[in-house]
Amino acid sequence: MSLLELKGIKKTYLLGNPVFGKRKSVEAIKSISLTMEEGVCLGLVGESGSGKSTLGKIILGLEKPDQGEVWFQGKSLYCLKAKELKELRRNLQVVFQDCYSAVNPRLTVGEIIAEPLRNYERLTSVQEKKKVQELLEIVGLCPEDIRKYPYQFSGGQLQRINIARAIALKPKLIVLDEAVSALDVLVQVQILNLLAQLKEEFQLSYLFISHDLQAVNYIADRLAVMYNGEVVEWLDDLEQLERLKHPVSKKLLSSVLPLYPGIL
Amino acid sequence: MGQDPILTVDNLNVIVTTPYGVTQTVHDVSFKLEAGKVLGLVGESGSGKTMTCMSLLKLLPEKAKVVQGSIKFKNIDLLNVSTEDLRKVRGSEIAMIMQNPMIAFNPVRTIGRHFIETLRTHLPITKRQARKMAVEYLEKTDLPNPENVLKQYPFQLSGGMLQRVMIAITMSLSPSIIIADEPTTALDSTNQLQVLKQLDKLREEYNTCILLVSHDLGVIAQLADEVAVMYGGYIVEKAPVLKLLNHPMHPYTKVLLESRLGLTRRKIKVEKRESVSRPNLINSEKTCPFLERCEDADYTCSSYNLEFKEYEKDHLVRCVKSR
Repeated sequence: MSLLELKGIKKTYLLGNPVFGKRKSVEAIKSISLTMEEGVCLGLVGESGSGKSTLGKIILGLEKPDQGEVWFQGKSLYCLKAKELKELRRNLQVVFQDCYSAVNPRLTVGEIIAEPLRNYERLTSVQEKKKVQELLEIVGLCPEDIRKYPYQFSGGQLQRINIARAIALKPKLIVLDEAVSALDVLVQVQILNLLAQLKEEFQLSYLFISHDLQAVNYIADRLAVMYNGEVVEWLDDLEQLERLKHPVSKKLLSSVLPLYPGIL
Repeated sequence: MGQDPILTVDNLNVIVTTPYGVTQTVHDVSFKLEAGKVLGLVGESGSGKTMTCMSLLKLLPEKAKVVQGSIKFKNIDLLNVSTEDLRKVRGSEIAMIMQNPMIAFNPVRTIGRHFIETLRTHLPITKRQARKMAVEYLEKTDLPNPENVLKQYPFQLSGGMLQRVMIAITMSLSPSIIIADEPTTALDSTNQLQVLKQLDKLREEYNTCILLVSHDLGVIAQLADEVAVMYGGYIVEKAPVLKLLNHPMHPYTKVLLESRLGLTRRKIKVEKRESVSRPNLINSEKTCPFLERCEDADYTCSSYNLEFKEYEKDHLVRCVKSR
């Protein structure tokens, strides 16, 4: 049984206000089927507007597809009772691009990371504090940071906090929606290394969504290229990037800036 | 070389007053811009890149102040110029391309209104002429259907399109200097390439000089003739682009170069924890900003007075170890 299976997913958004005549529709996802095995990092690349993030939301159960099914751990995500869905969702976590808007500015780091724990596990406050401190250590922050507020951190550190929150419940799948795109080059590498190490340690699977082929190439095991709501190309072996054939993939590949001048 | 520089920044120092005390964000920054040349400014967030750019046009936030140094544009001393004269320089002589095009435009005005307003502020032309000019320049940036773009609101365009509109507006006044502060950071990689191509075209056609700011050496390497690496408010290394890429001298530059992802699958070793960039209070002693993170640091570093050392001709390094 594969961890995640999408069957013929389709999603259309309606634009505009219904009061002002007929609404325009945008096909965000035309028809996507894919399967993901456990312990794999699937990289999803595409230009902005290609439907990557919509697909991520559908997998998380945040958007309902118009057609198709999402099977996660052998259960269909959109045919479950609320209680069963909640149980399933503890294995599904997410890290967003904008680390500042992903946390509540009025909560301390301790409360932010403890939130999923409070939802699913009954811990005493002492156990909870210990657990949160452990998580902070795992992602490379100090246990003393537990009392600080989000504004006291840099973007990279806050992204580590987001990651700590995502792994708090030892989920099976984490959707990383442009998780490193807003960070500095050096910090990007640090976060990617952290993610790779956590994946080994906790047997996680990632859906790594990004527009940056370099980042995807660094961490992913498989690659899917999206364009206009469809997966246009699959690559199982990332050692052979040059085998990408589709014009969209080639365009993405050629937009990776080499370190030496001469591309312009 | 040989020609007179258009902009000369000499020994610029900027301080910021914070609730915790006064910190210095820009230390002794000096550089020159020459016509048709691109100076790249690289560094991580908090290294003082943006503060340097902002002080060129007196756009610093209230709490920040230039305490020392001079900025000379052609023959004007930009630090002691009247507001009236400064307005003439801003936009038409020195233009700025902002990092986030989504925020830089007014959301309740159409692109056309932005464009026409800017043109008419600086040029004695009618609305109709301005509109014609706008279409002309939008066409140059390869935007599809420029007439239509003028009628649209900023939120109806994508980030890449908006950035190209911004370039078109700056181009239309043919300024002598463009300050591009992280022009491609908010864009996806395919758009990034296009925006860089536009900037390159601009430099060639109008002989504009560009101050290109970025945290990505890849972006800088494509466009810049000379690169200045900033760390902790100091320019730690300055050299022509190929010299810097081939012979990086400062340890921070080396770290930056090694941490480029590229398309190889090799694992890159970096420190596991991020260093917390603490604001260095002004009264603290003058020490190398990179000291704590430096792998080669030893006793000689603590007595170093942060003088620039000339490693080769045009290649300046602020590290005691380089010789």
